[in-house]
Amino acid sequence: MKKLLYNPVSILVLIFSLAIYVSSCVTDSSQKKKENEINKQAAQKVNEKAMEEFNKSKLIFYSLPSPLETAMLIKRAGAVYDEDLLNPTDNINRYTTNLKMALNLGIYSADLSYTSLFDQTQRSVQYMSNAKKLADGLGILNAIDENTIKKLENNMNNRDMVLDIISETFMNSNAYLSEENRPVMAVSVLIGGWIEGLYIATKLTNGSLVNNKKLIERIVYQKLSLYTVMNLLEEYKGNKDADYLLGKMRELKVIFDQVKIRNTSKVEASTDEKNKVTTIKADSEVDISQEVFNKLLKKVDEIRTEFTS
Amino acid sequence: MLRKFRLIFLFSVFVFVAMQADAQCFSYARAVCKTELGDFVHDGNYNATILSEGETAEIYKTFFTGQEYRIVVCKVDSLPQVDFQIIDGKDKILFDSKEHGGANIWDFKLETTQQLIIRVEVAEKDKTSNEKVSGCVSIMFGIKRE
Repeated sequence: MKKLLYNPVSILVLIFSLAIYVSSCVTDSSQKKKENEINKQAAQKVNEKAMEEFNKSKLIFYSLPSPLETAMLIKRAGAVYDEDLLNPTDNINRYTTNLKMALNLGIYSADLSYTSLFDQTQRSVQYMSNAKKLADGLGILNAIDENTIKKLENNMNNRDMVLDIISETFMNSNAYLSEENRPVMAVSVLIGGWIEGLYIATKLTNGSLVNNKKLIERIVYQKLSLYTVMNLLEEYKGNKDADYLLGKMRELKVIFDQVKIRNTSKVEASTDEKNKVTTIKADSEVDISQEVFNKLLKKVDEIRTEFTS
Repeated sequence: MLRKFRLIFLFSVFVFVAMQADAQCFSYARAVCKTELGDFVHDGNYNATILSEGETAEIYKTFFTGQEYRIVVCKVDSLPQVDFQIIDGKDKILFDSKEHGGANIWDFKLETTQQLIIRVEVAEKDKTSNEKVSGCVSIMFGIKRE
């Protein structure tokens, strides 16, 4: 998920230099020994001129809340479990294009996270199987294998372990797509997961701004994530799938632009050195009218229906 | 024709090798950095890349109130010190690892949801040196379990 501002010629020189000299960081079973080896190998000397050019560049990453984080946010806001809101597992046969597979890999990953956090383990296994099928369809090797599903089944009563398995499979897919030079697909997975989280959260409000204020706050602050999504997509403008998604996100932005979020004080930080914790504080105000909220619900529903159909 | 073929072949070779380097960076992130999250559950996002001495990378992330986050910044041993800062939208530094003994693991709580920037800087061993070291740097976010 990165934006690299660079001189294309120098970056090619640099990539070539790195490619020749880089060997990195692999670690497996004999971890420590390999770590040292990897560390040694990861050092490389690169051509000074290419380096000077490269140093002019700036790496920018955008990190969207993952499906797992989104599900945790929803649950912590006091949301309840409602299976009817999830994308039915039977829908999987509809997804035949890469874009649809990627979006629904994100959507099923969000559903998987949501079912797991509410200890709906049987459903979790079904969603994990669907995520596997879509990952296979996208050619993501070894992100989710039969062992992953077995491991999930064997640890059904251990929620922490289940969350670790989900996190691992999501990272595998995400990293694989990014590194196989398929960033638009990687972004599509993230957007699918993000829209599903937003869909579940908005539906759980039953259209009321007052029933669950915590959940409303979570939804409103997705305005910040929307900017992240758009920045991510802007990097791939010109790609058919990215342009399609950017169009959808712009429709959402028209509504989120009517939501007001502002800090009414400076952002301050206080650090507890002993426990290595920093608390970040600021007073803020959010404002959303019922009319805008209704529009938001409708638009999220519309986009999610399009993604899952 | 032969020249064109040779160029395509060479280009394919170095793209392939570069991708191998990236894949190894992923292995490093997964096997080494992730374990440093301790009891926090990894959010599942993959943020790792090859950085060189003197280089800076920034991650934009929304941190939500009610969640406790752990940030782990790790790098291969061959790289010099890597520091990180947490910066708000007005470029105010809220946390600087240099002021905390160069810590690479720190926890954060938010009392208000904010979009923040994590700026990661690789130090330079010798600014006058012609040669710079590069290596894998990974930034991981963990969320406190219930």
